[in-house]
Amino acid sequence: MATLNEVIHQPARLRIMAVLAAISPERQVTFGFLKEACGLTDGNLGAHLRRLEEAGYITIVKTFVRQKPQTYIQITEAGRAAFEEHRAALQAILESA
Amino acid sequence: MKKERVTGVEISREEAQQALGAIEDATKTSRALLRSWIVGVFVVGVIWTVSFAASQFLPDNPLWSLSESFLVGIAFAIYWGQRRRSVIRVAPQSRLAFLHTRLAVFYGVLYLFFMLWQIALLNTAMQSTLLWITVVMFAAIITGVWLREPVLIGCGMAVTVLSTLGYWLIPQYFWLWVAVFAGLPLIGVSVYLWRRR
Repeated sequence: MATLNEVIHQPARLRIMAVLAAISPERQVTFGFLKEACGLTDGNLGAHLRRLEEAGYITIVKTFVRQKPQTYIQITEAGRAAFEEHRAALQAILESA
Repeated sequence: MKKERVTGVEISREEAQQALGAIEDATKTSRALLRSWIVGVFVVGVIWTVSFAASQFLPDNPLWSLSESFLVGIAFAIYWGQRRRSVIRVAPQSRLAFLHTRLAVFYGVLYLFFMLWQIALLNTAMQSTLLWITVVMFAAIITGVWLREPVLIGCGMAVTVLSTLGYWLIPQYFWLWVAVFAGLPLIGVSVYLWRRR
């Protein structure tokens, strides 16, 4: 039976994971895109990303694009699996009631 | 409100519903980003339709000369690709990155050969246009195979056959023919791909 995930359940992290999970596994999105897509501030998004990275659900890549710093975020296989399990658990709660 | 406790998280049915709604919203945002390449197809379709139709009805108007409109299309495609890459990229060292590099080289070589054939072998604007349409459709078919997108494969094959038929059978209406059967299909395919879930 699928179980809810405490790390992913937090609303901002749920949205971050949902955005990342909908993107194919070999693609990375920028910090700026995630910030806009999730409606978070720089500091808030950074804190949630660190939490997800600590859990092994995402990887954060800091690099330079045309001599400007750029941060890319990518979901890991473990993150994708955890997110799908969390979604299944939510679905199960709806269907069980 | 009844709450369920699963692995330390208490959640009601309403909260589960809200969370699933948030997931759906976020998924739509990502899908819109992933589909942004379709805008390039739409714009090229509009450029083709307008410039081909103008060549039929306003053959002396230099504003609609084909090479300029093709350059506008290529410039837009490059601009749009750069803009898209500013928010999403293929992970370096991934299998997809390897495929992207191979495809980029393939397209580069294909378009260099197109220019060579155009300069060395072709005399008329109609010949150049037919070659250009078939080269772009060839690239669409290859991309469709690569992306497993049957719509691109079908569109590429149909436009190639119809454009060639128009060239041979009704050369006096060739420009109008390709406006309808080469430009409009690109617009139609882009709208279909955008609206598709």
